[in-house]
Amino acid sequence: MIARQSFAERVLNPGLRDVFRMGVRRTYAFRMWLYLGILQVFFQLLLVKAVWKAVYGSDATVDGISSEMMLTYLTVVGIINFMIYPILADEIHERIEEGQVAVDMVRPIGFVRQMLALELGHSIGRWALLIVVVPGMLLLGSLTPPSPGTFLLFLLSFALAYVVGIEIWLLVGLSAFWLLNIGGMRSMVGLIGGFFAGSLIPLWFMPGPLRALAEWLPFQSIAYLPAAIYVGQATGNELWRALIVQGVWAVILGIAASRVWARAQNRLVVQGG
Amino acid sequence: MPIIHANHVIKDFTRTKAVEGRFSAVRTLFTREQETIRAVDGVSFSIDEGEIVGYLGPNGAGKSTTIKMLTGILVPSDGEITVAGIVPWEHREANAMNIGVVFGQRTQLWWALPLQESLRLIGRMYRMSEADYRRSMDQLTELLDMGPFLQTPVRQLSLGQRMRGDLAAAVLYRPPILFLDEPTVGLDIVAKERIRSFIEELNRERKTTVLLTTHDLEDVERLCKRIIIIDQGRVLFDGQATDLRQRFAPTRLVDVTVSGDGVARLDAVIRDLPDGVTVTAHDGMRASFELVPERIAVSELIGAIAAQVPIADLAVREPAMEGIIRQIYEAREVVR
Amino acid sequence: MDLLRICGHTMLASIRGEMQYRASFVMSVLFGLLFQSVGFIFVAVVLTRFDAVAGWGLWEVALLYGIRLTAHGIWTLTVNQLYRFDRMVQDGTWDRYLIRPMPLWSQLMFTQFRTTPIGDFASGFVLLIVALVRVDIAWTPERVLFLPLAILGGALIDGAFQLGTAAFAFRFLDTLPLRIVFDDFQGRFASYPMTIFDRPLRNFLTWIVPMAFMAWIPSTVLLGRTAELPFPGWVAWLAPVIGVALMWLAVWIFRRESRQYQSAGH
Repeated sequence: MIARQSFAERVLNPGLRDVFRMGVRRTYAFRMWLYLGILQVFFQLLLVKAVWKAVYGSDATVDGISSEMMLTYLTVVGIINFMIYPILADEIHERIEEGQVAVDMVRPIGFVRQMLALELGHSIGRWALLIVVVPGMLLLGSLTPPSPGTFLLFLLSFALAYVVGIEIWLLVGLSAFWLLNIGGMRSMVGLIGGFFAGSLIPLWFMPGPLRALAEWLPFQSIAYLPAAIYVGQATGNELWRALIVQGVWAVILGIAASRVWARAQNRLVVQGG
Repeated sequence: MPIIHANHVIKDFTRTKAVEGRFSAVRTLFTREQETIRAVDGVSFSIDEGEIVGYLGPNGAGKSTTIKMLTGILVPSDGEITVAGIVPWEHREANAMNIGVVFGQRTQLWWALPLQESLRLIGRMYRMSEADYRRSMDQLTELLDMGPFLQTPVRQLSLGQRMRGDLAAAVLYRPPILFLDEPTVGLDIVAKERIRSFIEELNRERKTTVLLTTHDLEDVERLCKRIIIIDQGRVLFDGQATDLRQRFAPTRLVDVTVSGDGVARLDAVIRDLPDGVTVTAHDGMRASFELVPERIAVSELIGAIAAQVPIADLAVREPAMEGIIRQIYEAREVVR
Repeated sequence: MDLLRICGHTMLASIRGEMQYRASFVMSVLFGLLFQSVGFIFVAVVLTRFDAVAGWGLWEVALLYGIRLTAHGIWTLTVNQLYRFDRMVQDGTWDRYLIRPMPLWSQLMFTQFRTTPIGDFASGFVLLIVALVRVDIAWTPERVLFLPLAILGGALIDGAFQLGTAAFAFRFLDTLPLRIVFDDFQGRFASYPMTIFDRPLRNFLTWIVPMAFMAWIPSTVLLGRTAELPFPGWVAWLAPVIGVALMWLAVWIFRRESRQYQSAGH
């Protein structure tokens, strides 16, 4: 008779803990890439800061946004971009390419669950380096703290941003079950996603049509919305609206991911691994 | 005048040592301990034109390093090398025209293009005239039986076909010297034999000098009259294969199979063996005898057995090279 | 010349090889185009909302951007194997190059074709042409001659950095992260009028890692803005020379480092 596992047992399967730990170790095994990522975040801030400072010129405020707020925005977005950098898609792609996925799927823990655990480990490993990143960003930019209440809501927004980010990259990764090479798609999503997440230009400065497009896409939920909350640009109703938008995307993408995953499993069976 | 000449060649490598202990990850950022490893330690040999030499040694012995210095890939730390009168690393391109190289594991062919195109490109690179190229191409196509897959993209070729393609590419421009690094690795018996015959043919027809690195001792048995054994950067043995055998395994093996009613008489023979003969295997109707030719001639033993036992089948063989080589590796001493 | 003809053949062969993978060929070109466009779109969007950045209007920045991108495109189209030089060193491809009767530089240039640089070059060239049309330049014969020379100089500067960092692969096998840092840095900072940077950074980019000479300084010459440079205007005209000098230095470093080659891969 097969013992039925409780939900908690299934989610917190000890095997998952091992995968999680593997994720952390993986981040440090590719140390160089991590340092590279940190440098890139610093460079990015240096550059956008210089451009926006030059653009502001002698004006202290543009469209009601102070240069101080602008700088804080750029700093926060940079830190968020460092923290939300999923390798999920690459992992899945690699496992499919090398055929490992067949082995992974036979394990008692779900494949997607394994990947998520791995990603979580990878993220935590990255976040440990915030000790270096945050002071660096502070030096280059500014992090004028918001009120405690706002900060808590920011954290909530960040959590939602993380979820949305993971889901997007999960979907990109799952596309590897159909496309042989997701390299191109991955780069496009990264590029376009980064742009529409407000990494270079906050949505409030985007021209009409571009902003409209950005508001329809899920990418603003990954960086722009939490950052806007942090700097106090989204307040009151707008703030709650932002959180709702993030929440809605989290749900939609979650459903999409599970549907795609179901199809993917089917496909694997049909292809015979 | 030897075509390949190496004199007291030394090659040192510097490796960074991994820092051990606490905070090793952080410390490697700051300190880099270096150690010098001597991969080749005073290797000398001369090879004449037309020789096929087996270059043997355990992994990490310095074989690849030596070959790389002969081909101009690496520069020795000390010592002299001339290949067809040229110092390889000083006149890289000129040296390249004289040598053909096959690396067993890696191909030199263009992956996405048909084999024919790769060969055409190589013909151009080595400045072959159209006529020369055609002639060489036709000859090689026949010798290596490449007709069926000349138009196939290299990435779709089987290992055996790819190997033949690489061989063709290496000898297309008729270099006087051929370096083969594990040319039969991973191939099935038929393919191996085809490659071996090809090398033999090449050596016979064109007097191509061949330096063969291999772990497959059948390659050696089949092709190499001369063997150089290297370990830990030093030459342990350099001489004729027959000498090697003579020194380490001067024995012969005689396999005898008797017909049905001779089993009992075979047992009798075994119980009363002549001097200098030992039994290495005995299984009902079959037996193998090992004898030292100095103490008893092969013909004598065969005569003695035939007199007592009805022989259905008989074979005389030499002991496998493998055992001999293993002895030398294990001794790790220079064989004089 | 013999060598050139051989190079032509190897190049054609590798192009044909690449075209076997037709879909990814197109994707690579498109991707190159897109990647570079996004960078410029940032500036373009900002400058539609705001008029100028440090006194440079949209089309003036476009000119600068176009010069840099074209220079980068020229280099990556011609010598496009350096980006995976460390992989070549690790997997034995470099060994093969060493035993071929062709100069190493020609093999680096002509034996493997990459398609992404087409996108790089195309986007740069288009941007440059459009900018040249839209911007008011007081053309003189010297300026007409200067433009292509400056672009070539920029290509050499780009190449010098790539070659210099690739040389590290001889000593330390995995240099990819390092080279990405360089490439990234250059892509980011060299495409803007450097007056937007603080003085220390600007000096660093002019004297120590002379990326300023790739696009900004040549643009000031064409636009007659050499006043904003920290040195007399005529120095700016030397931009192409700087390119040659840096490349010469890079080749020297590369040659020296190649003696450290251990051929560790097998």
